[in-house]
Amino acid sequence: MKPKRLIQIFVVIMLVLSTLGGSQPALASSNSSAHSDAMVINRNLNLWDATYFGFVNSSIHEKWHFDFTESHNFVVTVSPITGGFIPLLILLDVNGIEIARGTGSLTSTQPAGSYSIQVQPESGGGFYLLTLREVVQSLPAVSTVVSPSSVNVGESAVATVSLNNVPAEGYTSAEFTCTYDASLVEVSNILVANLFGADPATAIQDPQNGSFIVAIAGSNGNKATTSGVVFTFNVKALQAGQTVIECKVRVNNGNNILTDLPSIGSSLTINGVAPTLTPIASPTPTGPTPVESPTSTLPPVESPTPTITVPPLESPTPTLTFTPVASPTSTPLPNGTLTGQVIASKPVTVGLYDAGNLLITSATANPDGTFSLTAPAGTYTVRATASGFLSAQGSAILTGGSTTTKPTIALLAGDIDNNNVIDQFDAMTIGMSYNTAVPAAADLNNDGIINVLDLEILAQNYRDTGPSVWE
Amino acid sequence: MKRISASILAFLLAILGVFKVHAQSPETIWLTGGVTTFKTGETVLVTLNASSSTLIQGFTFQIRYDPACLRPVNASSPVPGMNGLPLPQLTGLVDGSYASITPQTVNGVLAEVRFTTLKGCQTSLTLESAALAIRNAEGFAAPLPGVFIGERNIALNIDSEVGVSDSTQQGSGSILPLDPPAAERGFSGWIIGMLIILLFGGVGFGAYKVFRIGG
Repeated sequence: MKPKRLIQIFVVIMLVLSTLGGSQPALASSNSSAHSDAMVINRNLNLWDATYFGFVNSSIHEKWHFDFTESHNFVVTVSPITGGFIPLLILLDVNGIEIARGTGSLTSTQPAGSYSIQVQPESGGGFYLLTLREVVQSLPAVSTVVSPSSVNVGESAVATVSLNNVPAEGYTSAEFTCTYDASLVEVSNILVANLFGADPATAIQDPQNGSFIVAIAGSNGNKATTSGVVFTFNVKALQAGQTVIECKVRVNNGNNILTDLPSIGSSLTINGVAPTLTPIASPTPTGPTPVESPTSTLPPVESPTPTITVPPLESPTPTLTFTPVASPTSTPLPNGTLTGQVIASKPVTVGLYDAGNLLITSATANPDGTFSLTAPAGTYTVRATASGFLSAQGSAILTGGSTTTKPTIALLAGDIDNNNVIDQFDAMTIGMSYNTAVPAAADLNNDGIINVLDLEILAQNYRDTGPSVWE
Repeated sequence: MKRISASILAFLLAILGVFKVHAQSPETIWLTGGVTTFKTGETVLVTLNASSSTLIQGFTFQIRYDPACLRPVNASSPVPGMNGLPLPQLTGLVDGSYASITPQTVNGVLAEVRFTTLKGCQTSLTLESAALAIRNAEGFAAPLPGVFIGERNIALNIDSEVGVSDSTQQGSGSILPLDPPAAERGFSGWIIGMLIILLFGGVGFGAYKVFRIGG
């Protein structure tokens, strides 16, 4: 027999032994989540996108071990070769605790660590091909990764929420709504990272009834332009069970419209083993007054469902209110016209005031901000106002029979309480009215709901005072 | 006799009325700090406290610090439902604001603020302003009137000896990142460093040219 033929026979024998797990130690397993009486053959899964052969039946299951050095979003596919065989895949952590399962394939996102995929028949049995592939996300998405994926009662895990495949134009703000099983876990310590640049404006609606909201807006023109971690939070296990922790996101790419992105959650398994209880680190009151229990006197939580009550918009057609000025002479001065444009996302009112601060005439600007006022020739103060905005003020000299045009001006948003300064109380009004529609002045972008977009606008003008100078 | 008794009774009632008002303990905010002596690199924890018989929906505080001695790390509120509104910060001033969608009882710790010591200093933290906020009839946040601000200052003695950096243990609740804008902190130093490098580079190049021509 030729040496070449001998080598071919040797290779075929090795392939057959490989499918039967001949090169791997066979160990009986009886882990808690994937318990069965079948013998479990341990095998190694070392390569991405490679195809591995395997064989399982009702008495032989296979467990493929693999390690991650960083977080991966992956899919494991098992394609049966034998007819009538439907494979069941169970993702296990390093302790053999089930993380997730799927029939035929399984998709998951897991942090760095050791894992295994147990393949067993859901029905039938036979040969199969197994492939581990990285899920390449070409579209923007949000992912939530919990590490570790399995904890005991009383222990904590850290959940990391990341934005992936962020487009080059970036996001100016985002609103994350995270959900979990409140009977199994408790969420705390929400920490916002710097993906939206230094010093972002953030509103956090604290965890209640299994969900919480984190709204983040870049300040000073900052925005998220790269993929990365947006925020993290702690998850403390309260009782045994399994919960999916997922944060959905709506992003704003600068057009003041919140758009939903696909989301990938993670599963947290809580084992019933209760370790020695560690007391919850509660803030130690150092003042002379003891802290009262925060839960005993809380009023019922308002409904999170926003009730949108859009106030009726003022007529877009300018309505002129002309009040003739009492002229000191018997001949009335000819009228002059003042035109211009005031930019704001709310209806703008422009008024002319005389030297005694008496309103001479006013008009509501058109939807594009343009306005036209007619009044007797003279020198006036012109003032533009809009609900929730700092007013703008300047002088205007009207000449009889001619038109004077003021430069275009943009009003600064954020003066919600109309006290001529954009301050903490304006921001607090947004925080107190989150996800509602009142007061309408807090709805700075006039989209019918008070949320992160309004906070984002306010943060850009924080500490500004009015009235703005209208040259 | 009856008139005298009535007068005494009226007097006693008036006195009791005064005492009753006094015992109601008006709304108060004050600053406390436990340890006042630190080494460089250690964490300073100060606590903003409040006592209020009125339910509030927000609060704000501004703490002045010396940026040469201290760097703010974060602030957190243990009051459930109080959401942090981390608005843009200024160097030398911690500006914290919190709001809740529902009225809350506050009697005790409102917020904890952490700083890192930067060098040996005799410095202090000053509660420059603080307010409790309610939601008024129009739906706007408004300061609760009549709030008394108690202890405002905490003197700190920071040793230049480097201490062990404390782990930043944070309480539950919304966290405020308090770093002032980076540009305000390091821009001038960066420019000076670049100028020094350019100066040395120019001198070195000049010397090289001189010696090279001379040789």
